Amino acid sequence: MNSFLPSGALERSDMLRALRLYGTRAFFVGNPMIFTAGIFILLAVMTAHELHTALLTQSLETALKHSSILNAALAATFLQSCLQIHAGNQIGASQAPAVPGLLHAEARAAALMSMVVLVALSGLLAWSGVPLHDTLFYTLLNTVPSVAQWYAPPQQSSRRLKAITTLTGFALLLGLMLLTFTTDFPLWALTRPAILTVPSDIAMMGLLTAAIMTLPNRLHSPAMMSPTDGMTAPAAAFPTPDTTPRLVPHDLSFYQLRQMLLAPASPTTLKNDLLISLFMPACAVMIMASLPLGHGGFGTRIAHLTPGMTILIALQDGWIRTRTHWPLLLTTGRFGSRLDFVRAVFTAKASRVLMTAPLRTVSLMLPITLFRPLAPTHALLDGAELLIATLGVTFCGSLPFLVMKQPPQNLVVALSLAPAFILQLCNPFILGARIFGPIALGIAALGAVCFFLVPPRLARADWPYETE
Amino acid sequence: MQDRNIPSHGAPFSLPVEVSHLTKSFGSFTALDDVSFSIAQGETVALLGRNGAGKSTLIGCLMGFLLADGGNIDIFGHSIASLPREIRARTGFVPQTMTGFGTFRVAQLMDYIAAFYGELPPVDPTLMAWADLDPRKMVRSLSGGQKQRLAIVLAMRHNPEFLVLDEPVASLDPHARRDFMNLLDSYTQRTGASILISSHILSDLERLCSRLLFVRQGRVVLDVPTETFRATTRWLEHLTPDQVLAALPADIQILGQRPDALLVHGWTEDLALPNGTQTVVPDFEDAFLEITAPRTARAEAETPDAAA
Repeated sequence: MNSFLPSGALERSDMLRALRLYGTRAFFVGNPMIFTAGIFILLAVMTAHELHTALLTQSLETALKHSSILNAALAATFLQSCLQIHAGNQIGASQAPAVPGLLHAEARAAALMSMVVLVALSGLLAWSGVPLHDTLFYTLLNTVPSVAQWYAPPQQSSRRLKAITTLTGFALLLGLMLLTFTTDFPLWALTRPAILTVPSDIAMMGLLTAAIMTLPNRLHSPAMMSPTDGMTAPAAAFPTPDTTPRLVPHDLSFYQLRQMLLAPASPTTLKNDLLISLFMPACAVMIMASLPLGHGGFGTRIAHLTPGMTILIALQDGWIRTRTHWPLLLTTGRFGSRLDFVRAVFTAKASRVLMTAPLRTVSLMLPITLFRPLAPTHALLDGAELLIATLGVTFCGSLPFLVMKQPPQNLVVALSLAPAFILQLCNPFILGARIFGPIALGIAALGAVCFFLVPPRLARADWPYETE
Repeated sequence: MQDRNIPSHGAPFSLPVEVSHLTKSFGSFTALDDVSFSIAQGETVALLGRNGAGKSTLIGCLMGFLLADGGNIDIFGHSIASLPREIRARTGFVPQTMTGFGTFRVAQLMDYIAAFYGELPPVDPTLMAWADLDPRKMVRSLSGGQKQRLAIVLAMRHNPEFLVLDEPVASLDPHARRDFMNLLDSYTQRTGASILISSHILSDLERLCSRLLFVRQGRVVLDVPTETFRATTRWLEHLTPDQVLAALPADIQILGQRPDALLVHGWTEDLALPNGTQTVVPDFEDAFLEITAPRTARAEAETPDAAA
């Protein structure tokens, strides 16, 4: 009987039960990141194979120039997301703290799984011939942004903590991607001596483990139970009926009303979105180019950086994945029938992206035009192609609804993220305007197909109206 | 205790729950202020109060989900701050809404949770019949009511000796609610378990519970056996309630006041009252509204029951 087992053995058996869940449907079904992680694992395997073949005849430096080592890093990041979603579901459950040993078991299992996938990915890269301590060092460095994810999973109710950690995670991820694209960072990381990497590996693993093991404390902290929920201000000792209307009618402009359709998916206001679009790509390129990393002068560094930054103009929010607010807004009757409603959502998204995408594109193109001898006509052409592709990419996430009534969440997530990553790897700066032109038109055509054909399909499908 | 595999621990005669001088604040807001009460074995206690009165905070502290700022909570003689696993295993908790575990199948989740309690006897067939859940269904595909039934099954599966239910029937249909209340009643009869239940379905609480614990603005304002409440709580109607107030002995507790009446606790038939006083048995809902209505700090100080 469990109660008579020594506590160590009891904890082990608890953890083994929690570990077994990673082999069941409970882990794979409904995990929105699983598909994306799967794609990147596949890409990581291909990268490892490429490296393995190349290293037979070439130096590591040459081999890395012709491989996408970033795929392995992204595979590690997305795998961490999968683990975090799964563990967060159990640890964040309302009854979980009442079950003896469950929180600890789930956290320990998640920490162990996290280490296992990191070592496995590093082992995969080590197959190419690079020492395991170096591949582990590289993988762990790229997993540092995931620590932020573990600190504030979706179940975390503190908005402030969520915002801080999301921004930190995003900044770290962006920084690592830029380092990868613009410097010899992968080569540097993969050629460090063991005396540096082994202690660093242990320290980073410790950091990640600590972030996971303390997850129960954060998910079941006092912040989970807001004291003001349902709280009423103290009334008079023997209150009389209050006839003062509590809600002041507020007339929203047509545009504000339409932007509500995107509200939960686009947490920034339109004004902030426009400001971010105008300044972020240019600032990011300029700041990174100012750092003494990589080779050549300022202009050359900008030329190196810009292709990798195309992700900034193409990355999408969850506008098509987050639909739980649709039924409520539909019942307001302000948008007409179901079809009118879905069309309104698509139009709202289109109107938002028509304003932000040109700003982002101009912002991205400005430094490369000003500081590098890129002919304005070329810049104009590259920018136009990027803009066309970005507009198309916006609606690619809705593609699964064209063929399925209830596509799995993970497919929608994958198709929302993948085009931005693809655009980062093949864009006019890399392929040249002549080759990229037809690709951009193809993406735009796909986006247009989605824009016109998906709303009728979505109007005839069920909408999620209960959140978990 | 019947049907249990988990041995009893803790002091031999310790009460299931003893709370003394519990305080809990969130920033400058005091959610619980000097709360003290205890629950004896076999008692079914109703936790009554308006939204935001502090019921969920109290339950959170009792279950160890929230850390108290001051005071003590002992569960089966052990401080909640360092509750041993075997004592935790003697408790059960039904949340207001069941969240998480969405990707499990019902049977898989039941087995998974049960395993944390060690070897358990077969599931009570009455409980399973009441829950009427398809074991192959995924948790996230269950309706709100079905999820709540699953939460109840998960909390009662290991026959807890102390069960805390935080508005357990809010999402149940009337049939399921009535059957659950009967089930809970027979469970306490069969096992001698202690129950703390918070709900807004007052008729259920009045019928099921042996004790009533009224909470207002973070304080316990009335802690009384249900029978005593029924027998000694009355409206004393009079054109000038102040006259009645002046005539009342000091041990009578004033629970509320209307322009033409006082709600008192401690009434007896031989109580001497001014002429023209009508004694009316209060409707339970009316009494609840009166007792739990929020007061300003000034009114709180001026209300006679504060002095009492």
